[in-house]
Amino acid sequence: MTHYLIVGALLFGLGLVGFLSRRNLIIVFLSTELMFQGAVVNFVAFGRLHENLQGQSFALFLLAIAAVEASLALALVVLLFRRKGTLDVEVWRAMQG
Amino acid sequence: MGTEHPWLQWALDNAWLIPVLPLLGAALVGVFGSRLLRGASHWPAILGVAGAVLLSILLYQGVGELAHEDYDRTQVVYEWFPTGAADDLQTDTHDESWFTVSFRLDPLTAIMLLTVTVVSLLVVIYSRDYMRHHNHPERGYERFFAFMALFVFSMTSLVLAGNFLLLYLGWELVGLCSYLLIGFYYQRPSAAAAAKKAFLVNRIGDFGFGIGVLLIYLTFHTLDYQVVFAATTAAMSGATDQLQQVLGLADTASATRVMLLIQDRVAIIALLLFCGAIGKSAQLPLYVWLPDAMEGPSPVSALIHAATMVTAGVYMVARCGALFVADYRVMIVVAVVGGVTALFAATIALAQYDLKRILAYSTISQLGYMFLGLGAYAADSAIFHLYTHAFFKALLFLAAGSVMHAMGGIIDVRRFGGLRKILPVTFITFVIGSLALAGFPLLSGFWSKDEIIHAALQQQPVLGYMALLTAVLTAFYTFRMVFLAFFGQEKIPAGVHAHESGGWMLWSLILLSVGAAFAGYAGVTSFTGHGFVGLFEPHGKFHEFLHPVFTPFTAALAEMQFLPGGPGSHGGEAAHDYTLMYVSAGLAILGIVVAYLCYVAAPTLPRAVRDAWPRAYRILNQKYYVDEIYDAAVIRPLRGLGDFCFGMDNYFVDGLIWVVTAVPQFLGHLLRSMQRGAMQAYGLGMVTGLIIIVVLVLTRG
Repeated sequence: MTHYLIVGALLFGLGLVGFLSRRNLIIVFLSTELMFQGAVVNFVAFGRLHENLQGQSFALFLLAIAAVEASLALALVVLLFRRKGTLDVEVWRAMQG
Repeated sequence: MGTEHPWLQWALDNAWLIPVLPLLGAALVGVFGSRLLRGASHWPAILGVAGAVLLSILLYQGVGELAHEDYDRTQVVYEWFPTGAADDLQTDTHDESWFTVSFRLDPLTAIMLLTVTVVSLLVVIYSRDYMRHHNHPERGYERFFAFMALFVFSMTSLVLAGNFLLLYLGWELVGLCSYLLIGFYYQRPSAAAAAKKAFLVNRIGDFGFGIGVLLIYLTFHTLDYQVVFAATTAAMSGATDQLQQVLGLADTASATRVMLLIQDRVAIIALLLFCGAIGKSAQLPLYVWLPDAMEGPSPVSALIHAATMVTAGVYMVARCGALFVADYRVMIVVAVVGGVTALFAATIALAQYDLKRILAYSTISQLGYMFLGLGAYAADSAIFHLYTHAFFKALLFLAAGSVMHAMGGIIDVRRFGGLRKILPVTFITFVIGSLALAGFPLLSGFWSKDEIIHAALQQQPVLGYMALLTAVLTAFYTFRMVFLAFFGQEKIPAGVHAHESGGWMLWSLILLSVGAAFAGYAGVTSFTGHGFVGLFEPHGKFHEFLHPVFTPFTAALAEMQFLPGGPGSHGGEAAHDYTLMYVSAGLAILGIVVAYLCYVAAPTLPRAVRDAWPRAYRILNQKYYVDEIYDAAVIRPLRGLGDFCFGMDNYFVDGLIWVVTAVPQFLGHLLRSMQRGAMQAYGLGMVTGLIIIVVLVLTRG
């Protein structure tokens, strides 16, 4: 059981570090996906622990949502790239107060 | 209602079509004008008004066949909205009362409708060519015709109204239409200003009028003409039982109370209503909007001056005769305002050079005559003058418009002259109109004006002599205008290709000049068609027809003749009959001859006169500085107040608001620096916050 959780935490931690440190939009996006999957592993692990199917079904839903969200996010990335010709996150700071 | 003829009966039952047809025309032009109709936009307006003319003729015939008792009936078209019974309702017999859309069909309405629709139709037909240049419709062509038709709708509903609410509605609609049309060339600042002025000055009068209507409601608890007039007549003669019956009161005690109330208030009500008439019919001191209203296209001036607007005041006073005759002092006020305005405006017209402006002052002067006639208890003569005046004034304005059209928009009589040969039809029709206006014998203006002067001499000799003086001045300034514009050396402004106007314009001019010449004979031919009956007594067909409506006037007059020392006892009857006719005919000719001497035979004379009395000339030319006086006495203080309020708002109120808004703004400014737009920084913040929360939960828990 612990092993599963360690794998999940590792995935989440890697994603978090990637999200905070990388500058390439696509990598940043992939990092969020990584965090996602860390959470999914935990769901499945706890589902196994409690011996029911809720964890697994939740994981399936999460995968579906992740797929939808990925298509949307990638489309946005494509648009942003077309605008500025670069994938650097730092370029998009128009919201600066 | 009873007439045998099915057509006439149908017209009587469907009087609502008269205002609705022009409205329909206006709506059609308004909706389809700019896309579909464009250059053909005049058709719906013309057809709508023509339909109204046909129905008015049928209605006139129908009314002629009605029994006199039927005149007093109010025809309810539909119930509009409930009055919401007031708490102190003295009339407790009816459970729920309604404000209705109701019509009153009597000879006065019929005559007014006929005058209004016929003149309007000719004006609209004339406009078809006037609003085109080289056969291309002017900008806003469809807008023009939509508003014209709307104007006719407003005026016909005003005239048809059977209660004060509908009257007020028509009254305001007419004001609105005049605003829209005077400001037709809204790109021109002077036109926009003139429209605004007309509207605002009218509002001043309408304010009094509105209060008068409210006071009528508070006093009578109804706005129906029939009930109000009958109740007033009953109250003034002290017939409580009659009053009780008319108002449907419960007992004699309340009838006495209401009677005292009415006796108390009737003079105030009449004066307040008269306020509205002063504004709408351009009398002293609210006449200032009318000369400026010349900024609109000429057909609009013709419509306003002849048919649809300024006559509303005269009509209203004649209609509300029962209220006005109740106090003879009110009648004196009406007569004095009319007589003084007539003379005042005539003197201003002497020294003006703008063709249309001269006509505008002459309208004010002629309206003064009408009010003088009303004030002298000769309401039938006043309406007679209204009717003849509608023809010749519309004719004069349209002819002046034709001159203006030919002169490329120039209207100053000093800049052109001798147009007799170039514009022959316009010249002849203009002269016919001028002769009628000047009161030249046997033309329409002569008959009606004489009657008014005659009545005035009997009632208020001073005003009567003023009216005679005005008649000379009228003849003089009218022909000064004619001689300056059409006689003498041929003179055309540079760069203008002068040409006679198009067929639509000329035909309506010709038709109107026929009216201007012969309309007066309705008032001198006897009812049975026995030809010339005489000038004053008995009156002709016109007066015979109107007589039942004006019983309040005649009754009051008859009553006064018996009062020793009363206002009616001045002047001998016999001294006047035919002498006055010769006198006023002579005066009209005298005025024309003097004008001929001054402007054709000896053109240096006017200059000499002007140089002899430069100050008098300047005062007249500057219209007694009335506009300037208003500017100093009313507009400046108001503007000062406005500036003060603006300053208060700008510095004090806005300052307070600034202080209140500055606080959150400052806080926001502090917090704003935290928002960087860098996504990853937000992420870091979130994670830090999360870690803090987790640590807190773990250590506490």
